[in-house]
Amino acid sequence: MSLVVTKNFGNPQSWTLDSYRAAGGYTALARVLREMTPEDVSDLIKASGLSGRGGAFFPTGLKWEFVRKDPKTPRYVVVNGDESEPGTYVNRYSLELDPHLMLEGMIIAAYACHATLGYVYIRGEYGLAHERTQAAIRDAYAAGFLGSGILGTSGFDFDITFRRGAGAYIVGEETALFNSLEGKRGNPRYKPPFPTNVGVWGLPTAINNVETLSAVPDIMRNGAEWFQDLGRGEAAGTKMYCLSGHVAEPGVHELPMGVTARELIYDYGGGVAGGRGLKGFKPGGASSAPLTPNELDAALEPKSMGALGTIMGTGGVVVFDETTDMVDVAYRDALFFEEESCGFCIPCREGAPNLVQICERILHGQGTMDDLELLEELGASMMASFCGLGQFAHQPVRGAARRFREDFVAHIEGRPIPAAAS
Amino acid sequence: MSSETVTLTIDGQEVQVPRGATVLQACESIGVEIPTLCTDPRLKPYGACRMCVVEVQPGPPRPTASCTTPAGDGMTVVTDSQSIKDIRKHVIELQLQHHPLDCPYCDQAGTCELQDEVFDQEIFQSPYETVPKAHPEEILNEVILINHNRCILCGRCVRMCDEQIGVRALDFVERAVGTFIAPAQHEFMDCERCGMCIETCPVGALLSRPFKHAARSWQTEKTASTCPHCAVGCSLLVESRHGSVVRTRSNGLEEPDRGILCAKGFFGHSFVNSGERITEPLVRRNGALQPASWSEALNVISAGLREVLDAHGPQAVGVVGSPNTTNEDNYTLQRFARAVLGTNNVYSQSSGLHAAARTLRAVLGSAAGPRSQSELLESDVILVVGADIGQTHNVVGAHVKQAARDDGRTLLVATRLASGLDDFATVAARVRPGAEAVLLSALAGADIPNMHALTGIDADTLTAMRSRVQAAGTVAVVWDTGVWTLGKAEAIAQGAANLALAHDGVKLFPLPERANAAGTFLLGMAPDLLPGARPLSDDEARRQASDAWGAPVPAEPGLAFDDFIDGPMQALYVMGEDVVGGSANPQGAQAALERARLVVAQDIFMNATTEAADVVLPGATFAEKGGHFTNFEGRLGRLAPAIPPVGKARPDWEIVARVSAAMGADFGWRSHEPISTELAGLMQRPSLPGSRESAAVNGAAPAPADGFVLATEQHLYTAGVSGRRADSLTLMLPEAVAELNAGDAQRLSIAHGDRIRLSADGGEVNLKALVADRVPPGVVSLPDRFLEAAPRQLDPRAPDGAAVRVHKV
Ligand SMILES: Cc1cc2nc3c(=O)[nH]c(=O)nc-3n(C[C@H](O)[C@H](O)[C@H](O)COP(=O)(O)O)c2cc1C
Ligand code: SF4
Ligand code: SF4
Ligand code: SF4
Ligand code: SF4
Ligand code: FES
Repeated sequence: MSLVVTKNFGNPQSWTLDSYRAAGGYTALARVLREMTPEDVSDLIKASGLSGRGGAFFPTGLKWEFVRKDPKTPRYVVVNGDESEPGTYVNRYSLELDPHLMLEGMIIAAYACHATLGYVYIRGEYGLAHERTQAAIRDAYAAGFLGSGILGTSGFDFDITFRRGAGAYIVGEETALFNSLEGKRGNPRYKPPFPTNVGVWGLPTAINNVETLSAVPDIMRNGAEWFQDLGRGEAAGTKMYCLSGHVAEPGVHELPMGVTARELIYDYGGGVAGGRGLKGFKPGGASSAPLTPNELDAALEPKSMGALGTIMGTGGVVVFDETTDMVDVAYRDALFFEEESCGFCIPCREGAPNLVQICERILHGQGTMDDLELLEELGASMMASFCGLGQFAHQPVRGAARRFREDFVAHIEGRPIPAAAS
Repeated sequence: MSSETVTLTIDGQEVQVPRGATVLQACESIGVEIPTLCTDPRLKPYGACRMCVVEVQPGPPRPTASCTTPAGDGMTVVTDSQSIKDIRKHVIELQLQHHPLDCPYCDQAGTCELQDEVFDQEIFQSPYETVPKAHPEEILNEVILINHNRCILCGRCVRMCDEQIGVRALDFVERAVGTFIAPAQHEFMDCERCGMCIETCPVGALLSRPFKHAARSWQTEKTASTCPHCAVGCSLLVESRHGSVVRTRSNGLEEPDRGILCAKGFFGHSFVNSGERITEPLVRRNGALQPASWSEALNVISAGLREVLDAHGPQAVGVVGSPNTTNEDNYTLQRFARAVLGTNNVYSQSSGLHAAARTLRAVLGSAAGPRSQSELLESDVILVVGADIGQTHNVVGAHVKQAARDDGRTLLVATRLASGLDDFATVAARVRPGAEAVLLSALAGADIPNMHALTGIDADTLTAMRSRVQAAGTVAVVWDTGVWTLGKAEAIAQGAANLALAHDGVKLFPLPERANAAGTFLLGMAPDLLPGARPLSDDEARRQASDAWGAPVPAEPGLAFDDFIDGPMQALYVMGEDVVGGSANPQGAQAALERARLVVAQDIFMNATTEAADVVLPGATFAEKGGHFTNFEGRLGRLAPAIPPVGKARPDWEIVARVSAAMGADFGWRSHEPISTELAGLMQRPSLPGSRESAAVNGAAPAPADGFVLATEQHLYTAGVSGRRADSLTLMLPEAVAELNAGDAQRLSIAHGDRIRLSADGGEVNLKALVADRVPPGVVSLPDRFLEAAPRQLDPRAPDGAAVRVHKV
C-alpha cells in the first residue's frame, strides 16, 4: 500500500530540509505554483475526498474554497498541532519526523486560500516537535519556500509565525486556539460565524490538522482519484491510526481509511497484550464511546463509527483486555474532562464533575440503578454544552454504561466484574 | 420578501425579523419567552448558560443556544419540547450544586435571575450532591464586593466592563469548575467604579457595598429620574424606602446613557439624605442665622424686597439661578425677576458653558447647536480636546470608546492628561494646559509659529491629526466646558468655531459641566437673554414673554454680575449657587453681600453664600421634586419626586412662587407641570446668522522654564457640593490631591501621599500629592470642586495653565 503521510519517516535525518528534498520534497509546491490556479488546487482536494483529520472530518477542499471566497484580508492558514486527546500521538510523529511535509501542505493551502499569513500552533509539551518544526520553518524561509515571492513567483507571499500551547486540551478546539493565538483566555467562540469567515483576528482562516496538511503534497502529485482509492469503500485516503492500551505492540500505523479494528489490533498491533482476551476498545481517543469485541469488524472511518453511536475522532485506538473494569475506564475519562473543561458553560463545567462523582459512587459500591438513569439525563443536558468538549465528554461514560452495563451493575450490586461485555 | 429580513417558524408561528437578529430576538419579538441567564441587551451574545437552548432545523443535531444562533430564512425553531424543558431544568440543577441559595440573606433576592429560574423550573432539590462553596466575601474596592459562592460565571460583569465601559478590570481566573471572577491583574487599577458590573450581575455575586443590606429589593419604591451630577443627563431609577434614597441604578437603554452610568450616577446619591442638609428656613436675628417658620421667612423676604424696590428701584435687585436646579426652578425665578421685580439682573453661574455658547452663537449663529449624541458618535472623526471626558462626562466617554472600537470611528485625543480614551484612539497626544484654543486653531489651518513649544504636540502628530480631520466627511469636536476653561472658554470656543468655519463637516459639542447648565443658557438665565436664549433686544421675544407673564419685561438689559454686585445691588436672591465660593474674588463678593440690604439664599447645603445671607431657605434635591434638566444635547431629562423633601424643604420653584405670591403676584402653580408647559411655549430658538468670521485666538504662554503648568479639570469622583456629601464618592477620593508625574515627583523627592504646597502668583494651597501616570511631565493636576484647595486660590481669573511651583512641606 502507498504511504502518504508517513512515507519519509524511515529516511535518515528525515526532519531536515536536505533529507526532505532528497525524497522529492517541495516539488509538489513548485508544480502547483507553475501549473495550477488556487481554484484548481481546492477542486482537486475536494475531488480527493480529503477531510479533516482533527476529528471533525470536514471536507478540506471546501474549507479552503470558503476561505478564498471571503473578501476580507489578510486570510490565514493555521496549523492545529495541539494534539491533546488521550491515546493520540500521530501529529507528534509527523512534526518530529517530517515537519516539511506538513509545511509544504500548508503553503499549498495558503496558495489555494489566497492566504498570506499563517500560524503553526503546537502543543506545549511537544519539545522536540517545537525544535524541529521551528528549524524547518527557518530552513524553508532560507530556501525561498516562505516569505515574499515564493519560489520566484510574483505575488505569492506567505509568512508563518510559530506558537506553542500552554497546556490546555480545549485549545485544540479551533476557536479556542484562535483566542489563545490572540493572547486571550482559551475559551471557544460560538459558531457560526465559522472560522472560514471569522477566524483568527476576526479574519478568514483555514485551520487544519497537521495530518490533513501532510496529505496534501502527494494528492497534488498523484491526483484525486489516487488518494480516493487509497481508502476502503467510500472512505478516502489513509489515516494514521495509533494503538495504545493493552495491546502487544503499541504504535502508529498509516493504513487505508476504513480498516477494521480487528485488522488494526490483531494484524498490526499483535493482538491483546499477554495474549489475553479483549474486553473492548475505543476507536478514537478519550472522547469516543468504547466498543465491544462484537464490533471489531466495523470500519474505522467516521460514518461506520457514527452509526455505532461512537466517533472516529482522532483514530487513537485504545485496547482493553478482559481484566479491565470499564467503570474505571469511564471514571478516568471523566476525570480528564472534569480537569480539561474550560469552565465557560454550565452543562460542561458543572456536569463533568458529576460524571466523576457518579463513577466514583459506583466504583465505591455506593451507586444505585438511579445513577445510571441520572447519567443519561446528565448526558442529554451536556449535549447542550457550548462546544465539542462538553458535547462529547459524557459519551465515553454513557457509552460504557450502555455497552458495558454489566460492569456498572456488578459494582452497584456488589458482584465481581465480568470478563467480557454482556 | 426583502433580503433585509428573514422569515422563520417558531413553535409553528411564522415570524419575520431583520437579517442578523438572533433566534432569541426572533422569539422575543413574538412574545415567546425563553429563559436566559448570560444575556444582557447591552452586551454581545455569549452563549455560556445554555438556558436559552432550542431545537433548530436546519441546524446542529442537538439543542442549540438561541442567543448566539442567527435567525435564518426558512428555519424551524422549537422552544418548548419536553427535552428542551428537561435540559433547562437540569442546567439549573447543575448550577445549584455550588450555589448557596442563601436568598434570605442576599441583596439580590427578588431581582435574582437564578432565583427566578429555580422558581420557574420548580426545582425543590438538586439530584446532585450539593456542595455550596463557602468562600468569604471579598472586598474589591471601596464600593464593590464579590461573593464567589453565588457567582454563576455568566461573564456579564467581565463583558460589561470590557464592552461597555472599555476598562476590562475584571477577568476569569483558573478553569473548569474552579473558575472564578477576579480583578484583572493590572487593569483593575483602572476600575472606574461605575457599578455596571454590579448592575448586570444576574445574581448576588457582585454587590454594592453601600447598598449591602440596606433594603430588600421589593421593599423599595422605584422612581424614574435623571442623574443630577453632570450634563450627560443619564436616566436613573431611584430606589427609596421610608423617605430615604437607598440606591440608584441605570434605567432603560435609551439615549443618552444607553443603559450605563458612571460612579456618580450609580454611587453618588447619598447627599440627598445627608445629615448636613438645610432642613428649615433660617433668618438672621442679632447677627446669627436662626430657625424660622416659612411664614416668617417669607415675610422677611417680601418686606425686604419691597423696601429695596421702593427705595432703589428694580435695578438694585438681582437673582441668581443654578445649573443644579431644574428648568422649572430657573424659569420661575426668571419670571419672578423680570415680571414681578421688574429687573433683568438675572444670572446663572455657569461661566464655561455660557461663555462657550455665546461665542459659538456669535460666530456660527443658530447652527452652533446643541446637537445630539448620536450625531457625535456617528461622525467619522471624533476629536476630544482639553479635559479627559472619561472623567468629566464619563458615559459619553464610554460611548466614544465603543464608537472607536466597534463602529470604526477615528478617535483623535488631545487631552492634557493621559486617559482611558488613549487606548481607543488613532492619534493620542498631550496638549499643554492653556494651549487648547491654539491647538484647535492650528487644526483649522492657522499657521502658528512655535507650535510645538506652545502646545507640547510635535509637528508629525499635529499633521497626523490635521490630515485625518481634513479627510473626514464629518468631525465631532468635543470638549468639556468645566471650571478649567475659566478665563479661556471664549478662546477655546473661538478655536473650535475656526475649525467649523474651515471644514463644513465639523460639528461642535461643548459639554456643560453641571446637570442643567445647558438648560440655564437655553432658558435665558442671563441679563441680556430671554427664554429660548433669545436676545432681550428682540422685541417680539420680549412681547411674547410679557404676554405670557402678564407684565412688561423691561427692555434695558441687566448689568454684568460683577458690575451689579459692586454697583447698585441692594437685594440679591440666590437659588442653588455659591456666588461667594465660586467667585474670582471671594472676599469682594462676601463684602458686597454684607453691604446689601437683603440677601436670600436658597440651597440644600450651607456654603459661603448662605453664611452671608439674611434669609436661608431649604431647597429640594433632584430626588425630591419634579421637573426637567436639559442635557448637553438639548434633550429634556425628566425628574420625579422619589421621596418627600426632607424636613421643611420645598421644591425650589415652589419657594420662589411663594415669595412671589407673598409679594402679591401668585402664579397659581401647585405642581411643576404647568410651569413645564408655560416655559415650553416660550422656548422658540432664535434664528441667528452669526458673523462666520474666524478670529485669531490668543496664544498660550510658553511653558515656564522651571516649575509646573497647572491642569485643573474635574475628577471622575467629584461632583461639587453634593458630591462632597455623597459618602461613596468621598470614599473614592477623600480629599483634594495634587497629581504629578513619577519623574517629577522623584526629582523633587516627593512620595505618594506626601503633603505638598502649590504656589502661584495668586496664592497657594497645601494638599496631598499623588504620583500618577496620567499626568505628563511638567504638569501638576489639581482637580477642581474641592473648596479646601480650589484652583482659584492659585489664580483667581484663569488658574488652568498657570505657572505654579511645587514644594514638599
Ligand atoms: C475539544 C476539542 C478539542 C480538539 N482538539 C483538536 C486537536 O488537538 N487537534 C486538531 O487538529 N483538532 C482538534 N479539534 C478539532 C478542531 O476544532 C478543528 O476541527 C480542526 O483543527 C480542523 O482541522 P481539520 O479539518 O484538518 O481536522 C478539537 C475539537 C474539539 C471540540
Ligand atoms: S463545553 Fe466545556 S470546554 Fe466547551 S465551552 Fe463549555 S465548559 Fe468550555
Ligand atoms: S465598577 Fe465599572 S469599571 Fe469597575 S469593574 Fe465594575 S464595570 Fe468595570
Ligand atoms: S460575578 Fe455575577 S456577572 Fe460576574 S460572572 Fe459571576 S454571576 Fe456573572
Ligand atoms: S455621566 Fe454624568 S449624568 Fe451620567 S451617571 Fe455620570 S454623572 Fe450622572
Ligand atoms: S442566554 Fe443563551 S446561553 Fe445564556
